[in-house]
Amino acid sequence: MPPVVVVMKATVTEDGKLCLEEIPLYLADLFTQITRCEELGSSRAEERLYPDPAPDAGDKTISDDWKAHVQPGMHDLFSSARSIVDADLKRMRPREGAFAIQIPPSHAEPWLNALNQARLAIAAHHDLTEEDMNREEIPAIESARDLAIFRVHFYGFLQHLLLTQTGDA
Amino acid sequence: MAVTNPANWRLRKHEDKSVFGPVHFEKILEWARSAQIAPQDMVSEDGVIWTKAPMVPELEMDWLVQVGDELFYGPTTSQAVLEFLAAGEIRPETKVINCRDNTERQLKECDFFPPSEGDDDYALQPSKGFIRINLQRRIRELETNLMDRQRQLMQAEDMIRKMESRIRELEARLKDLSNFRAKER
Repeated sequence: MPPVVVVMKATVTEDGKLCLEEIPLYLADLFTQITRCEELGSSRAEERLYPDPAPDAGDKTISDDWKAHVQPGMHDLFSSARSIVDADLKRMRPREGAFAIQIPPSHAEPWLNALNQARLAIAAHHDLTEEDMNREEIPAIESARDLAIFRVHFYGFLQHLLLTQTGDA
Repeated sequence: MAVTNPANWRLRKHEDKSVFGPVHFEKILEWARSAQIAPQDMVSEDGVIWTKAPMVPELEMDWLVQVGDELFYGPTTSQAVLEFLAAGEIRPETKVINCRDNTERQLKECDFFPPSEGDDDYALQPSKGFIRINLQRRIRELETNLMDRQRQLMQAEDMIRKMESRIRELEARLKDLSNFRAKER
């Protein structure tokens, strides 16, 4: 099976919206999985997204304080970012056999946040290593692990687009 | 996602993965309208393929609510937004975003907002008793309070132990002093 090739059209409107068009169905599905991928609910992903700041400390006070005072804010922030991405995804529409979506510049930050959550969750859940991620070429997708690597790369590519193409990011 | 099999819909709650159904799609719609479906919950019409509830257009979960600085909740239904209002979770001035056209406005400017003569009535209407947006935050506040109290209790117990130790020390010294005086006599 040949390596997967990502083809879609990216432009920026005068008011700064990132327009992604000609998104094939399989990539449109990956878009919808940013906020609902199974990995987000796994215990490994939870540990990665909400790490214990002092796992080896004898005194549990630091960890307890972190969980009580910092983690809730992170949780709210992550959830809010996913809400905004979901709102944009609701406007993803089929157009001439493919899909199109527009991301307003003010939503770039939540998108970066949600994409990061997904990447961390996928990498943690599938136990992806640096070696996996540093491969010169994205491999042909022949296993769930290959797909996980591809998804992490694809979401990274979207982050790159957001950072380079939108002024607010 | 079109509703092709309305009789066999299921709802899977995000928090505990509990599944409700199969029920008719009208029931799912009713749950969405009464804010019983959260934005992270999944729905399915066959129990195999699950979709995030807001992605089903027929559920009309089209509104994002600003619940804090840079914090948003949703997408949810207009009816759910009004429930949050009735529960005192949000105000008529709260910013809401229509996901269909990405337009922002204050809740009181929305078509579905109670008419002006009822502006004061919304607060008088009984809510259903569900505080969804801030429930988890409230639980966390209570947990934090509990933790603070436990810490205060531990500190107080530690203080008691130190004072008891000090009392024993003073009693011993007093005893020594008494013995010393007795010997002197």
